[in-house]
Amino acid sequence: MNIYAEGNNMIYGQIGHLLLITTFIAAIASSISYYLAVKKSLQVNNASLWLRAGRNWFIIHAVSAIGVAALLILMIQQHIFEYKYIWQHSSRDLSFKFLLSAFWEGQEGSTLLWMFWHSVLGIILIFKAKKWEAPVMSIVALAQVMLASMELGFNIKVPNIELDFSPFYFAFNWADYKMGSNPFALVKETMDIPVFAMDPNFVFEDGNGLNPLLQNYWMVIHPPTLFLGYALTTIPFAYALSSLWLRNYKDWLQPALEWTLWAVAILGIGILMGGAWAYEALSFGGFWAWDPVENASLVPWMLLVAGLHTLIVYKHTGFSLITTYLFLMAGMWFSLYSSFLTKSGVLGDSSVHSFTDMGMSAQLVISILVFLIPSLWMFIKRYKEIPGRKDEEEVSSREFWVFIGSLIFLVSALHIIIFTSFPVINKVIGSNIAPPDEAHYNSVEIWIAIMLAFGAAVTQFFSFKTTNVKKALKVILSSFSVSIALSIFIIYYFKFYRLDYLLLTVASIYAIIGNGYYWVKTFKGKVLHSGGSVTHIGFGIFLLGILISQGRQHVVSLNKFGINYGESFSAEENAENILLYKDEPQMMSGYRVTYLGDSTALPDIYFKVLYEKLNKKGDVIKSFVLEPHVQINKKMGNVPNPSTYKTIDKDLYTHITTAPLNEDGTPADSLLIESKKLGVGDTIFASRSFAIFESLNPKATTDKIDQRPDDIVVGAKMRLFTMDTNYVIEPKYFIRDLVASSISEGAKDLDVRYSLTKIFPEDGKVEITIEQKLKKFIIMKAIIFPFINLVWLGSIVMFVGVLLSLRKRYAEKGRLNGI
Amino acid sequence: MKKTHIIALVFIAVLVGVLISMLGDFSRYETFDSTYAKKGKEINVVGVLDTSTPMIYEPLKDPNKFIFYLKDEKGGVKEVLYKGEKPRDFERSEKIVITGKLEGEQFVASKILMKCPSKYVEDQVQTASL
Repeated sequence: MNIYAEGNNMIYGQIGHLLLITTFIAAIASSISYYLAVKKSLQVNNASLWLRAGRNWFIIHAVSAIGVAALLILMIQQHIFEYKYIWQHSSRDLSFKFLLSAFWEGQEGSTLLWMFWHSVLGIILIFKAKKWEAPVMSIVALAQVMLASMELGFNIKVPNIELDFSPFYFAFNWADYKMGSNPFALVKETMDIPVFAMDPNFVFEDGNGLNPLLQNYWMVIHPPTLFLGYALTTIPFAYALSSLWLRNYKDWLQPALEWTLWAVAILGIGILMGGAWAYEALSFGGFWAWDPVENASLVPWMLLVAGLHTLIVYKHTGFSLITTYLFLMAGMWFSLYSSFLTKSGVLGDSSVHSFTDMGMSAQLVISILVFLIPSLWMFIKRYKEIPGRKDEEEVSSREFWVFIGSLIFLVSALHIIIFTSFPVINKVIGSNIAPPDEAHYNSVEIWIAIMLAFGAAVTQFFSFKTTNVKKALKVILSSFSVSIALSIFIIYYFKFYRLDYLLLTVASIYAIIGNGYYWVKTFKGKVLHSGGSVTHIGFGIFLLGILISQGRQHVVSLNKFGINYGESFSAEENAENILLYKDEPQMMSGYRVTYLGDSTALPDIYFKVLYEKLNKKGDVIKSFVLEPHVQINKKMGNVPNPSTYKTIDKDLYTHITTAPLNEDGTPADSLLIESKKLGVGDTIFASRSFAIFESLNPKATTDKIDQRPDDIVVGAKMRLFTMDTNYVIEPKYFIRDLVASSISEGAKDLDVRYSLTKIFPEDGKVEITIEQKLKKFIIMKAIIFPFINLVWLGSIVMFVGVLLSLRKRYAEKGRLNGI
Repeated sequence: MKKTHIIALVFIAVLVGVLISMLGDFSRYETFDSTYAKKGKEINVVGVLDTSTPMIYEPLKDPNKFIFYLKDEKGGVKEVLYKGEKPRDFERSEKIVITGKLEGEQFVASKILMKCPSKYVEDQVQTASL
């Protein structure tokens, strides 16, 4: 226990809270100033005073917000455990990079991260947005007001209305409401621990620590990337709303396109990093589980991708502006909705990694409404004047098919979000529908993927406005037939004899071939114009990777043997865990697998598992050692971490499901004690031997004790069978002066002892107890993910593709500016 | 009406249709003695671990068999069989959601989801006993 002078370290919290209040007030002031700047500019031409005020307030806001983040990191790094957030999420043993993970482990930290990125983006906009600065920034600053309010931790009075109709009841009063949760709250302010009554200056020696699952390098980069992605969804929204607001339907397109591309690239790669983390650190064996939290991040991304496509259509043809507005605005709505799902606690029963309710549901709902209602209202108000075209898209035009594609994205997004929202729907209408499982999402979304991949392949061959159908059909068919030919090999090799797998193979190959063909033919392989094609090729690779790695993943640790325990051996097909004794090789799916031993580097225990690939003659053709480990964590439970053997064409993934450990966490020898009632002729099994009870010998003798004439010694004659021999043993039951005990007999060379522990005189049966010292063992699971590298490759190619598109947009802008 | 509008409407109609047609198939949160459970349909049961009967997990015999007793929200207790490993920290869970079907007197779970007490509560208990 640390005794410290009152007020020591209090300065951190005081500065922190002061900064938080500053962020909140400055964001309000900035938003209002920018708003007035817009209002004034609509009337008179001189709004520069308000504009400058908005700008200055935002800079004050951003500096404070960045200051808050820096301060919190400093406090984590300095281990100032007087503060609840620091104590709750970090500990002294964390290395620096994981101190960062501790920063965003909690709800307050992740909101702060979002606020941090808005601040950074806001400053960029101040420099870059030019005439759009005032309207766009008033919206960004408003978002900051909502986020900052979630960090305040103020107690406020809110009106509380109780209304009931049968019988009629109405009451109005003021209720206390805690607005937000302050990351600078002290432990003693927030927790009711008796120790503070004894010693008000009590400080924890060490923090609670970071959840071991989050101690992974992906958790250092995934949250900041994802939240940058979320923050970026605000910008296309802000541009779309600003353009409606100012009735300027044209000039916003170029900046909105750039920002949408950034949002799609960053949010997309952020989501995939989460998948990479799940694959490496979690042991559910995959990178995507259709978990509500994952789904909630995917939906805004899908909407923005749809919006990006319709935006390009509008730019070239003048069609699809209304849908563009809706998609870009919905991207932001659903970002907010996803934070509501994650942070309100509503997913309690359906997701493993949602936050628990912190009493902020109302605030989260309000923040959605604050953005939804004005933007929807503005959209409806301007609906009639949004420029469009009276004529119709040609069926053979690119715009028509892009529109269809964006509808497919919309359907997919709606499907995912509606099904993910069942916990919310249940709350609202009182139903009890359980969210569907992974299989449901897979079976629906595979058809979406098929349609999108075909679309991505074919649509490029149609031109904007009018297409030379004959010419287009020729290339479509020729590239399609090449794709079919290639697909046949894949389908045959992986035995994809199922309509959906088969079609997805063709579609994803076609997306690769078709786009490659188009890029080479039309753009002569020029890098400047490659953005769309490269992204679509990446999409094809990505889908193919998902199909093969998930569709043909297989468990190799199938438990096809059984320790010879007779009745308890289950031959279930889905028995995915295998038991390995130390130094006893087991065959599994062509590999000879041996548990070699363990090594301890606390808090991690590494289990060495040797894999040897054998050919038909039984020679070792390849061998490697995997070291899955278990991290010992007394507070949060031990966590297994998989180890994966990666080759180009597959990953062999191994993780420990059970390993007996001593109190201190080191691997333990185990003793198995088991009793069984036996009649004459019955058998009892041990791990490497078994014994048959032959007869009861009431007049047994023993030299293990100094036998007296009035002792009662009863023996159970048993024939013990080992692998190569058999012999008789006789464990004995011994009574002297009414005290009974057992004299056990062991089997030679085998660590097993047999004792006679009970005699049932009524039926002549006995109870035999065996005690076997077992070798160290592990129970593990091993899964092969074929061609999972295609998933990662496809992701990277898509990301690069979007960056290439951005490069083209910047090149265009440079040209425009040059004129 | 433009054909894009018609197509958009068709898409939405299909989505709504699919949703409605699927509503009946969804598994629900139910108790062990609900009619849904008795029909042998897949259901989700929310409950707590019944500690009055010990859990059975003997990895040396069968690492893929785990039996425990769950008390549902109405207090009904059933034996639950899960053909897999015992989840880590199962004893610590404060709430368990299982998905599966009732087969005779036994509930065969295909999925177990546990809610563990937050670290915060856990430590509060620990420090309170200092």
